[in-house]
Formats: sequence, structure tokens, C-alpha cells
Amino acid sequence: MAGDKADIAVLPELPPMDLAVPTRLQTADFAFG
Amino acid sequence: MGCQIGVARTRVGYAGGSTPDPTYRQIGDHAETVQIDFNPETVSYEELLELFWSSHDASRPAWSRQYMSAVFFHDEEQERLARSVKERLEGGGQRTLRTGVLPASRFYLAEDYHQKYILQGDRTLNSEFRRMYPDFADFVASASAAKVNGYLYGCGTLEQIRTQLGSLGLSAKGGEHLLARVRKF
Repeated sequence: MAGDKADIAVLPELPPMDLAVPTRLQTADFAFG
Repeated sequence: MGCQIGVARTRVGYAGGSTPDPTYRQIGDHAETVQIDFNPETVSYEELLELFWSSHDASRPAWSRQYMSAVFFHDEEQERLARSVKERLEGGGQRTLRTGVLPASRFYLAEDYHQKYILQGDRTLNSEFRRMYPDFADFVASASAAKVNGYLYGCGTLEQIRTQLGSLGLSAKGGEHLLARVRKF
């Protein structure tokens, strides 16, 4: 039955580090040879 | 670069050329390139430039354009800093860095198997990340995956890894596995 606990997908926890990534980032490109 | 504090994301690909839709086997005139997203409040572009030049020998000639040393700048400030740091490291003509300082053009993401390469080769850690990130693009964009991949390359200290372990999203088993691998360096 919809709404039963068994029907609710258990999502894995995401790394706290990923959840804390700031939105204002800069990009850099390097070729290391 | 992945384990450098302030570096949030890393991805590998091809840039600097004009060949459309390059691949590893048909890279054309592109160079193998690492693109990173960083937090300038935590690490400066200048620090990244120093890390870049300290982690490879840019004084030797490149085998081919595919393996050229290059900084692809995204704006005038990055260009100014790249030229300035390069000149300083050349020590007034004492050595020549054969690094191109070139405008960033289109960056082509490399094939999946190149992304987080060493992490993908670790069955235990890779399976944990793939459970967290069933969508491969999310895996590539993961700051935690970038860090762990860097650690597996031997970058970072045990102390740094222990400090960050709780934020990587790994299970206790995964964390122990990572520490055991890093201890071997």
C-alpha cells in the first residue's frame, strides 16, 4: 500500500563533504604533461 | 589535485585543441587535461599553480601535444597569475618551463573509465561510492570521491585523512580499508 514504510525507498546517505560544497566555485584547467 | 584542501571537484578530459569530440583513442590535437572546481576562499589559484608545477617536470619537452604541459586560463586574472608564477619559478632564466599558458577552450569530458581512475579500481571503495551515487555524473562530481581518489594516489597525510574520514560518507569498513591502503605508502 502506498505510504507504507516498506514502500519508501531507503536512500544512502550522501557524504557530508559533498553536502557542504559551496556554490561559488572557480574553475581551473591544467595539463600535467 | 583532488586531495588538495579547497579543491571541490575534479574531472579529466581533453582540451586545448580543435578536433571535435575527441576520445582517448582519437584525441586529435587536444591535451589530456584535469579540470577542477575550487573554493577561492580556501585555496588560491596561485597555490594551485605552484602545486601544478611542483607535481610534474615541465622543463622537459613533451612527447606529443597529448602530453603537453599547459595552464588553460579562464580569465585575465588567471592568465596574469599563471605568467607571473611561471616567470618566478623560472628564476630569471635559470630554467625554462615548457608550459603553455593558453586560453581555456572547450573541455571535453573523458570516458567514464578515466574518471576517478584509481578509486574505480578499488572494488570496496568503488562499490560504496556507486551505492551513494548510482548516476555516474554525480559520482564524478563528488568532492568526497575526488579526495579518496587523491588519497589512493598517495596524496595527503594519514592525519589529514583521519580528520576528514567522517565526512567522506564511507562505512566503518570502507574507512578502515582506505586507511589500510594509505598506510602502505
